[in-house]
Amino acid sequence: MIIDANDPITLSLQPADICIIGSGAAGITIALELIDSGLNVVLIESGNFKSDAKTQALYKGSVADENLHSPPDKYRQRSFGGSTAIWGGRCMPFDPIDFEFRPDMPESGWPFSIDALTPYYPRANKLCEAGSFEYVSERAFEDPIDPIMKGFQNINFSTNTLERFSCPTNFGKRYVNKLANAKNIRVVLNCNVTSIELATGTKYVDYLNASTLSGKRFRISARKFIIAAGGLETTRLLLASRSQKANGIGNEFDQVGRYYMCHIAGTIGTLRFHGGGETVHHGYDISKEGIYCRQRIALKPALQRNLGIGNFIARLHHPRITNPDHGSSILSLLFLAKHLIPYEYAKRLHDGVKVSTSAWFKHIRNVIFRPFDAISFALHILRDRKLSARKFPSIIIKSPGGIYSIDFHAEQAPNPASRVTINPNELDHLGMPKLHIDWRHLPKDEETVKKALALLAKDILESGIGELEYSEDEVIREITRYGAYGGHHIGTTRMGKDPERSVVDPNCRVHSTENLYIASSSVFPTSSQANPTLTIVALSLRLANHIKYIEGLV
Amino acid sequence: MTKRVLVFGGTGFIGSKVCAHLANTGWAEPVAVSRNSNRGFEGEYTHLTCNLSDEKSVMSVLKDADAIVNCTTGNASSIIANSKVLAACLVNSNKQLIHLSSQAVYGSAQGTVTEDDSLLGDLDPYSHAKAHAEEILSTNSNTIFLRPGIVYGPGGNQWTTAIGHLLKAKRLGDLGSHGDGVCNLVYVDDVAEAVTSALKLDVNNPCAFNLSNVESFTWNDYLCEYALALNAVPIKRVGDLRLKLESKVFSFTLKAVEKIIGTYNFQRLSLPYAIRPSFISLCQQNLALDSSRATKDLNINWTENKIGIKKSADWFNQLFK
Repeated sequence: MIIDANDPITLSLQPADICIIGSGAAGITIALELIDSGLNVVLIESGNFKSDAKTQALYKGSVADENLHSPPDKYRQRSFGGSTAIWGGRCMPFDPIDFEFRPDMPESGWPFSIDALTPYYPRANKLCEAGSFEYVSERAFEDPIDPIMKGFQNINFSTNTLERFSCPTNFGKRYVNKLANAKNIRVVLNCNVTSIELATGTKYVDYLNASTLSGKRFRISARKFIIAAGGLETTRLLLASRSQKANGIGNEFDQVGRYYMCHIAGTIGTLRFHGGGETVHHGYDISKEGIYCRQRIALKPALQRNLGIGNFIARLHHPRITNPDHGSSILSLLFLAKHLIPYEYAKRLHDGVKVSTSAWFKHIRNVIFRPFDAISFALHILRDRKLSARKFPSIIIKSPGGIYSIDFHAEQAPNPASRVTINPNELDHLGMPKLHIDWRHLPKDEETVKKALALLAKDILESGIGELEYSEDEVIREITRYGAYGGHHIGTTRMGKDPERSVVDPNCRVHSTENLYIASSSVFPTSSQANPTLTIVALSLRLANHIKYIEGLV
Repeated sequence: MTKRVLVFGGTGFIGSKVCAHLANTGWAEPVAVSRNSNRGFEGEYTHLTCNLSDEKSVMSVLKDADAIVNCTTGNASSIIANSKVLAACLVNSNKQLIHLSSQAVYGSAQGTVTEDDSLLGDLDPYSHAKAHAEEILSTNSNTIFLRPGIVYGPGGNQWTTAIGHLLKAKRLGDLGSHGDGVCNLVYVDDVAEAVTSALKLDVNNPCAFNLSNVESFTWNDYLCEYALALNAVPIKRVGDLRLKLESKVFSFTLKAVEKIIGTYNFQRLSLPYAIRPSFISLCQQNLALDSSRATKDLNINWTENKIGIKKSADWFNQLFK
């Protein structure tokens, strides 16, 4: 059943067994798993089916350094389906090493190994519509696919692990019918939770205060509550719930909002292959199920341990788009069309670099002199991305001369000083304090990228296939140019066994409460190299199963 | 003593399997009955011609029969008309009737349905006709209704051949949210087995059995599994717009062309298969047949979907190289 909070309803009179706050990947996953469970479930969504500016504005806040972190209302979507409406669809599981305690990685170690998530990853893959849970090319493809770099010796890096791409699936659109038809699920739209209220003197959440944009206020009661509002908003809600806890719920030991991680990313260097473009395969392969898959260059776990650095992967990338010297009409077309590209993509694509007038003319010249490349690319994007239900994931441009750059995506180390707080003096339309984001990285993060890149350059050279040129200074510049990788909001309500050093327990229950849970990447103690969505969904499935278990249903 | 069993529609997809199955029992003597002469009939058993809409014609074949299996189908009006004729012929005969009904009798029901649930028959004229046919034939006390879901297998036109061609043409594939409905697959051999078992039951009052594999399968599961088995890969994700065009524009255009062909008696033209709006609705319907009664009382060992689909795909690929 779908309910609009603006309609004359009396939610407070209809307590639920389970109340889920947020209808993104996590919230919808849990609701789907609880269909026909016998539990009365209410799924609360702030927005409506389509995003609107007023609701989206509730995300507004401040950042300590705008060069390092995008504004809080970007890379997030406050509507049914949450940020899955704008995600890129890249899926891959965390690696076993990500769960381990690593002496050289501060605050590392999950309270369980990957085995705890292994049973849930295949179903997570299915919900994300990324096909079968096969992330090694030999198992995903019956016939061998071309290697990324012919002749590359896999000494320190593997090149056969895959990233698989979702449609990308908008969980809202994809699963709305299932939820609407489920007899035990109530989806409430336009319903903004403004605080969580504990029963006086207890560890139990009693009810939520909620409000519509028009000012209608009401309470939502349930036996158990799950916050699935995304990494940043989950943190904000805990911190803003201060009627009985001065520092917010779950924040007795000043842990909520700390350890804020994204990923460390950048595009760097010039990689020249001796064999030209023919020796390189950096694009997508399509599995029999129709899933776009791409091989990555991944730093082996043993090397991470030996070097004492974080997880790291790399892909081959086209040359810098802003520099017209690449001569590619396609890249120049993308540069010239930058205002037509959504913010979330344009930010990475255009570097934030100022381009001179002469460079602009050079870009125009590139397009004029090689119009057929640009036209065929535009048709490809129209057919395979705009008009296709399963979208071609990204821009792949083959370099005839075999010249590429390296696109890296690395783990960010947990850092208590990297922090999300609320600003009591800045309130949103509903009176909630706004977020303030102070994202910081550690020398360890630079060390991870520097050491991994140096090793990659060495392996490419020693394999005799080409040469990777970059300067060490460039590494820092790239890390800070990219800043916090957009949309990956990790670590601010971290999971652990020790209530003084974490916010939720291994079952995602907030330590200091008996009936409040969190389903979000904010519970990840470490960030891995992997994009978080698939693991968010797997962890949500695990939480749904745990809820069913403690309710005596499984 | 052998049981002489008339199988109406005995040269069709399900009927021919039923005949073949009965012929192997040792206790049944199947007689395939169809409207047309035995053109193309290959069974090693008797074949009779009969017009099921004509009472005299039906009475003439019923004489020596111990039991009747009705596997005929058709449009809504012929289903009702034929049922009326059959019911009239069976009055006071106490002959055993196994009637192949359909999950369509449950109409727009949602969730898990058992044989005791109401026959809503409210989806479309076909759904109404199938429900009404059961009502008509209930006048014969010795009747068993078999309500299969999606009967597929080698030789099947609707769910095997047509879907196979549509998958090969990439007009069907993963339907996303449009394919989340329950696909109550039942392999054709299991239907034949159910008929055989039902013939061994003696009932004093009409009763019914749902026939569906116990595996939980959605339409997306079926379409993707079948596409993989057919090697119709990579599987196409069929988007909302494409489905709308197929079911609301292309389908009606094809229907109009079919009418023109019928009206002007053109030579048989090979038209592409249409994706009807009713098929899209079916793929979204969350109706799960509870077949536990058939599993227990008819003792059916359901063919695994994977195996049935593989056999269907092998047959398809052999036939349409």
